[in-house]
Amino acid sequence: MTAFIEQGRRLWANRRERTLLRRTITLISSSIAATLLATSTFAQTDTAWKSVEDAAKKEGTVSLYHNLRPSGIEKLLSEFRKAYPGIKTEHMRLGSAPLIERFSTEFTAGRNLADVVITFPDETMLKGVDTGGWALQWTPPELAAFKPEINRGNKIFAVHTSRNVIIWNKQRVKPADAPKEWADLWDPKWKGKVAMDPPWRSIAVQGLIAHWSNIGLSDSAQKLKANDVRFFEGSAGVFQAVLRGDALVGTLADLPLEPGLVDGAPIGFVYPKSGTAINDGFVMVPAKAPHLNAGKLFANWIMSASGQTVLQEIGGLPATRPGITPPKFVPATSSLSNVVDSLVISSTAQQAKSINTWREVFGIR
Amino acid sequence: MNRLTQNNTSAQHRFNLLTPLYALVFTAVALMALVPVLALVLGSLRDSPPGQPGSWTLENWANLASPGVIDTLLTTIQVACLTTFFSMILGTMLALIIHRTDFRWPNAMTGLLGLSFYFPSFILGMAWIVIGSPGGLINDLVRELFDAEANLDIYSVGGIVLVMVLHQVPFVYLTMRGPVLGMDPSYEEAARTAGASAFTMLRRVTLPMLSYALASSTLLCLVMSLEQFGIPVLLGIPGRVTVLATQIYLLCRFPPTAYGLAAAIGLTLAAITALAILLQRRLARGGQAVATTGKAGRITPIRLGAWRWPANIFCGGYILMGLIFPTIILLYTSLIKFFTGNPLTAAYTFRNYISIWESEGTQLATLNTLLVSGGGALVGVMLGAACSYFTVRLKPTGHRILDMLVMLPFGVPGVVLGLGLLWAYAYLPLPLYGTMTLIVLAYVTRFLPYATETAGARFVQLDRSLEEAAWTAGASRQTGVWRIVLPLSLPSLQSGYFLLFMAFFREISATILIFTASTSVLSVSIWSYFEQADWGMASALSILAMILMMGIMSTLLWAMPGARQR
Amino acid sequence: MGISVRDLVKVYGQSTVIKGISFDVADGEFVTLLGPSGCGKTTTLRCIAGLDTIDGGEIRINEQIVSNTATEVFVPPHERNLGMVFQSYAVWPHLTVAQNVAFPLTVRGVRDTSETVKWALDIVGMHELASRRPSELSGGQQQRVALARAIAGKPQVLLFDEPLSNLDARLRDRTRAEISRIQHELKVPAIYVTHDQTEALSMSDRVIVMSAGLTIQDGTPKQIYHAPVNRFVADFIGNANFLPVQRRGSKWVLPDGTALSVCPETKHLRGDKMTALVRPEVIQVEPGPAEQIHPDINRITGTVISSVFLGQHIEHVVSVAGLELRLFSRMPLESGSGITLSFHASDCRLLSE
Repeated sequence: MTAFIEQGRRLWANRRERTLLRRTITLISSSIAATLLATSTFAQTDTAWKSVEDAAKKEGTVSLYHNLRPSGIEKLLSEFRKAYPGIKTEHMRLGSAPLIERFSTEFTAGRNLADVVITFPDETMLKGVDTGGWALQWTPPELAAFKPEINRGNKIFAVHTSRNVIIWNKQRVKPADAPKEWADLWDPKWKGKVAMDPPWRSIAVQGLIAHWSNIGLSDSAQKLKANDVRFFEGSAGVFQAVLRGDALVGTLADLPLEPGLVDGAPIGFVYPKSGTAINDGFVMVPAKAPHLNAGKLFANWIMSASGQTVLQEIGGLPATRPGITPPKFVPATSSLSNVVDSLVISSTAQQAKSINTWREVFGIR
Repeated sequence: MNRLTQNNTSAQHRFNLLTPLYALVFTAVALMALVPVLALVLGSLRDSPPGQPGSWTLENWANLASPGVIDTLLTTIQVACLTTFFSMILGTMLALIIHRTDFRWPNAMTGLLGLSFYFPSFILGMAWIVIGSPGGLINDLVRELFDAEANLDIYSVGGIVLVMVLHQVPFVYLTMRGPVLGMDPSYEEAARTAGASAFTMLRRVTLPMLSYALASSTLLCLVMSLEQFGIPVLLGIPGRVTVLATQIYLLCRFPPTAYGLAAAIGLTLAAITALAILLQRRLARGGQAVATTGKAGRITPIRLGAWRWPANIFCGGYILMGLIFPTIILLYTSLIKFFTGNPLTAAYTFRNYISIWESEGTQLATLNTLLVSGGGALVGVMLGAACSYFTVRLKPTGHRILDMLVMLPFGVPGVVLGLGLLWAYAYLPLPLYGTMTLIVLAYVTRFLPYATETAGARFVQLDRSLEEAAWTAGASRQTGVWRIVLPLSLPSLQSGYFLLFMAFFREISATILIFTASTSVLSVSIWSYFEQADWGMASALSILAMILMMGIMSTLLWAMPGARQR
Repeated sequence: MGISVRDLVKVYGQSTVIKGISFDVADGEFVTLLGPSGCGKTTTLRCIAGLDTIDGGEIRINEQIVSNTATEVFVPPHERNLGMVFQSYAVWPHLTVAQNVAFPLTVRGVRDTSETVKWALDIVGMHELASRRPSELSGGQQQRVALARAIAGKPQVLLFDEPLSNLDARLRDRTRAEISRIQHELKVPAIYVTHDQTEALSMSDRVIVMSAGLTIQDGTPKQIYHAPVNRFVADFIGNANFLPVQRRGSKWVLPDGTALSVCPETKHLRGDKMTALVRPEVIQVEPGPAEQIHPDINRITGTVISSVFLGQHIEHVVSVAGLELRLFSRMPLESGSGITLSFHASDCRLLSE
């Protein structure tokens, strides 16, 4: 708020910018008004939904910010376009942390470009959603088919789940040597050959580390440093590293696992019995989305049965909607033991603390 | 009488159309050059991300002294110095071998080196990861053939230096080629007739004669190394080798972000590179008269004799490592489902290419790239020519300031410029964020000095009396420019356009922080695929981008014969 | 009408290159600015052309003020209706000969230029090469194109900036004659800048000798040559022998006391010590001792020091009255032989310094 007032004061001094400022204010106020109107009714009826569809078609385009696999996103978008011809799709793919960062920057600057966001949230995003006015509060028609846990304040909805998993290169690691538990990661026999995503870059890993503390595996940072762990970019990076043989074992959020196994990659995996941290990927329609109705349409579609099937297929993660056929290779979340939700087990303060510990141990910054 | 050195004071009266043009150009360049820099300065004094409530602080600058940053600074200097050292040696050797000896294939080598020059840096980095990473081809081969561990790791300072050297050698070659070709042969002939062997002559006559050119080229190479973004980020992050450019990127991309510190680091890096550029321009001006005469072409080539095969291997080796291997590797990775070291057992597929072909996102990115490169280069050349005309010919009041403003972005690394633009345009009440205009603005700002140098060199060469003859024949100043100066400068304008087009096409560091969904360009798409470790798509798109680039290169060279001169 | 320059001053940075000069060029007159490099002659020309602004004084062309610092009038070059020929020809390589010549017309919006272009090219004899490009022409041909271009716009003033210095000797002679002829035909005032005295003497109606930003002498070629106003002019034009003389009573004597009959015009000059000018070509030489023939003819004995065969004549250096003189003769003379020099008093002028 203060930033806006400051900016406004600065602008007012410059006569040239006044007209522009006037226009901007009109735009913002009208979109706020529109948003308020839209959220005044919490439940949308079917006829109300038809009007959303029509409005979306009039808007003609939807911009998706996401952290899904880049090679799958085109298929997802083309399926949406098949379902709703006449709506163009644009997308921007970034890792979950940079994505949230980018959204936050744009939101604060008043440059709203995203119509719908799919990502794994971190504390910044949760704060933004809960109290910062990031998300539109609404009820998608498809919500009725889901379990109530996936709904967070009618603002963001979990659409798929990623779980932290251990993988190894089947060609180079004998079955007897394969890791079974988290502690195997700092077994000296894998020194220099362990891969992971660093916690300051991945919310999933932050959850994992919190889980490790909870089950008594403390000092993970120091142990992994002693084992010369190598960091790679994102879960895909870890996957590729293990596949190539840059590392022989690794831990990652299991996004690339299913698609890789479908391709026939020689990767072994295990979800340790001591449990794993999971992360839900949520869909959010930004309150200030430039094409609000198109965004709502997309979000609703991704929660529909067809949308969820495609999402699972290209995203590689089990969808949250009940009744969808589970993925071929990786087990359903329900079949795993001791599953904990990252968002639940790691509070903001804890996350910050563990990140700092890791940063210190590895000498970052 | 040397008219070129006279100060034409008649320019101070009567501009007619040229006065408002000058005002426009001056304002445009001033804004383009100063806004990002000032935004960075401002940003470095804030303790919160751009636009968010915060307070003024000197903490960011204080943090420059923190061990993390100092470490990065030292690493940066280490990498830059090593890269410059090796690039200079290899590049100069190539220039001498190709143009001073009886090497058999000078034209082929020149052409191939030209191609290598255009090979985008981060694509080279990607290919070399496949070749040299711990699970890469070389290690695999050694393990299979010799049952030993080569333990080659491209994710290291050595690896980064290797790939950066491969990338920068063509640049050194191209800058040293002119001086080597233009040397007055009589000095060397005197040495030979006095009894010096070829090597002695090289050591005691040729190289000292080239010293100005060498020094100038070294500084430029150093600046390039300091600015490098793609290669250090790709190869450095897994191996935890961080240079300043990488650090800026990390600080802005991954939480907890520190935009203020990034701005401070960016300004520091820019200060270092700007200093180097200033030194280089001093040198270039001072050394122009030395050793180059118009009598080139009568050189007696040095006979290679027993050194022929080492020279051939050397030249061929560079081309293999810098151009051919990477391309083959990328082709290979683009055609397989997932990475396998052994081409015989890999699962082949065309799906990456099919996916790209059908992908709307890629089509948009390609369109954007062509727009930015084609249109942006045009804007850049026109602006550059105008600036050059004002600073070199007309010299109205304030032209020295204009000159400095144009040169300012030269010393600012791409990623720093992008950061500055992010700070500036995300918050200025101009609807530029998220538009192609911003991308074009970023590119033109970054590369404007190239355009002014190319056009400017030509304006300086153009005899003053050609313009004066037009004036005394009844043409006003602007008619003179339109009918005489521009047509005669066309070859170098074309050359400038070509240069800018190619530079824009490959550019990534300036856009990486400011691109949005609709303004993505090819280089960013490739980068995104790579960041998500989608090797198949990244390499397929790289191959397609390079084919596109070569197609456009040939078209441009065919349509604009003037661009063939470098 | 014509060109009028009053109190022209031009400053470059710290130095004053033209220190206040005035002269006129009448309608149809051909005036040469002659002097060594750096004397300011080219700068003067450029000021008249409007290529440089002036820092003092006034320039008028055909009664119209084109440059005046007091009233801050400055007419830019393209409005002065000039024809200028440059030292480097400045023929535009991207236009054909015809297009080059037509330029002064096309730039003023004249549609049909073919007749004028034909006329101009005919005058310089370049008509057959009208469609060629300058890169296909020799230096002399390019210069003629430049000339045609200068006259095509029917200028009110012709300006030449050392146009012949890039041509070889034979071409220079031919082009010199052509320029003279054209200027006479067109009857346009012309200013010609050169450091070559042959061009100055042969082409001009008047010659203005300049040095260090000032005009030293303004006169016809004959006046400049025969009646130079000081040693500088005498030395710059033609060959000269300078004899230091002293007044003794009503007579002038050489350092060794030999009396000299000097030109009556200059007898009245003030001062006791002067320089006498005797040009080599006026000196007759004969072997043997001297005898006074006529009071108006100076006869002095001397010795031959050296001789150089120059083709059309032999140049001898002789020692006379303790001084060295040069003279020309068809007669070979032995080094060391005694000779007598004779020259008429009217060929011996007294000069101020």
